[in-house]
Amino acid sequence: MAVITEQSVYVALGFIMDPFLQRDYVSLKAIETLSVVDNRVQLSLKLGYPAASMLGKITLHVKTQLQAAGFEDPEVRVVTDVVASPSQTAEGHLSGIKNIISVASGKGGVGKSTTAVNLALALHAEGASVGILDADIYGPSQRTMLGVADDVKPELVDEKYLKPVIRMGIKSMSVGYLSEEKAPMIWRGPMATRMLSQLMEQTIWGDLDYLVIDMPPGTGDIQISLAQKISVSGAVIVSTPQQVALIDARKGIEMFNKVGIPVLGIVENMATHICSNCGHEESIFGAHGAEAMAKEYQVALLGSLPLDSRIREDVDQGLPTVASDPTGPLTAAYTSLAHNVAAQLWQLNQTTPVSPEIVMLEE
Amino acid sequence: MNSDMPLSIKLKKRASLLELSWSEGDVDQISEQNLRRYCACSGCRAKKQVGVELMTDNASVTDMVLMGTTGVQIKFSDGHDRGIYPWGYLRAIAKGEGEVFLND
Repeated sequence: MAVITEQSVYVALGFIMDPFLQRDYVSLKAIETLSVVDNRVQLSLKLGYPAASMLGKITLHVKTQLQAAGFEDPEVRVVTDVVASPSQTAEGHLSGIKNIISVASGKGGVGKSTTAVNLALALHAEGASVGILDADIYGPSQRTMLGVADDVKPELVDEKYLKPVIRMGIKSMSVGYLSEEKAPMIWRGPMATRMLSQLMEQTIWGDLDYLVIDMPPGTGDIQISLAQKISVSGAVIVSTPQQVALIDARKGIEMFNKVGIPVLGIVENMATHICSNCGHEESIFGAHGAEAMAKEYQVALLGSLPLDSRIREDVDQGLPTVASDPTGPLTAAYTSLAHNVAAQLWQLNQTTPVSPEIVMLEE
Repeated sequence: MNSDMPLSIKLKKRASLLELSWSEGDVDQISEQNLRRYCACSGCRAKKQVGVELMTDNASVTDMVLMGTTGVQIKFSDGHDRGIYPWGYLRAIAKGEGEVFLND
């Protein structure tokens, strides 16, 4: 039997692709330890995205690929550890947050909040610690979607800081927690922006792998201010496949490009509808629109979700699909979305430059 | 990701200079006076447009705050803290092209 060298294992690993990024583990720098003991490969891979439900599959995949490459009975261990974005601030209550994901769209009503809450829950289900900030101050919806009772208010600490409300394992904060449900926020630009940055910075988030921000629709005051003030690690654009929505989504992407926030990719929401009566599948809002746009901007198509009344019913009842039906096909779609978002972010974090250091010198 | 970000921002108090090191290896220096003069907040720009001179003589920098990955907010000893300086703008000021950058 041939003698196995570590070098030859590296070469083989250079051909084994990560299922979400289609890149090999060597170029992703995922190899934590690699050794050859008694002519047997011992490998430990460290992935930068949460993937509790996929660990077995990935381990098996790498094992079989190594076996196919001629290494007998390799010992493969896969662990996950979410990598912090280098651009994240080290100050205040945001310092424990590793990554901030902004879920945005150009147009309203495309399912941003629904996608954001299910994405957050799916990331949590895959093993990450997650928070969600409802930044839609004029139409906050996370209280309803997370099923937080009307009388629940965030606890005040030191008369200044807020404890997030914890539901289904994720920490949440929303303007909706601080106001009456029926009373609208009648605020103009600067007030609204200040309110939001306070809500963000004065919440005791603690340690989080991901903070998902559910953005208000559009490319106005609040969006730009938030984008500039907070080091958002990456943005996810939600759109429905029809032209009117795509035109606005395009503007959303352009805005993030302008303010220097990387766009992780596009989520196509309400892509198809399957008739509950006859099972006929129809692309109500048209097909392949988001896919074409993702290609145009060279960003990933992170996921495609159907127009299904269950998704709507679940968030209306305050128990989003990922929580109410953890094993169903819709949850699988959200889980795959979570994998793609987290994997893209991991890949991005390897190239993001570190924020500059500010020094005041007496000289 | 903003590839134009500087590696470091140093304020040299005695020399009254802001020093920016860029990833390409070059270094830019801007005097505190010029920083104040080129403040691009709406108030200062309006003053310039109607021809009111900005008092910049005793403007020293008291604090700097990063604005995400886009730029830096600079606070001055005269109490003015409304200017946010994007990276590209700082580069332009150092080259003496601040006005051009704003008018683009």
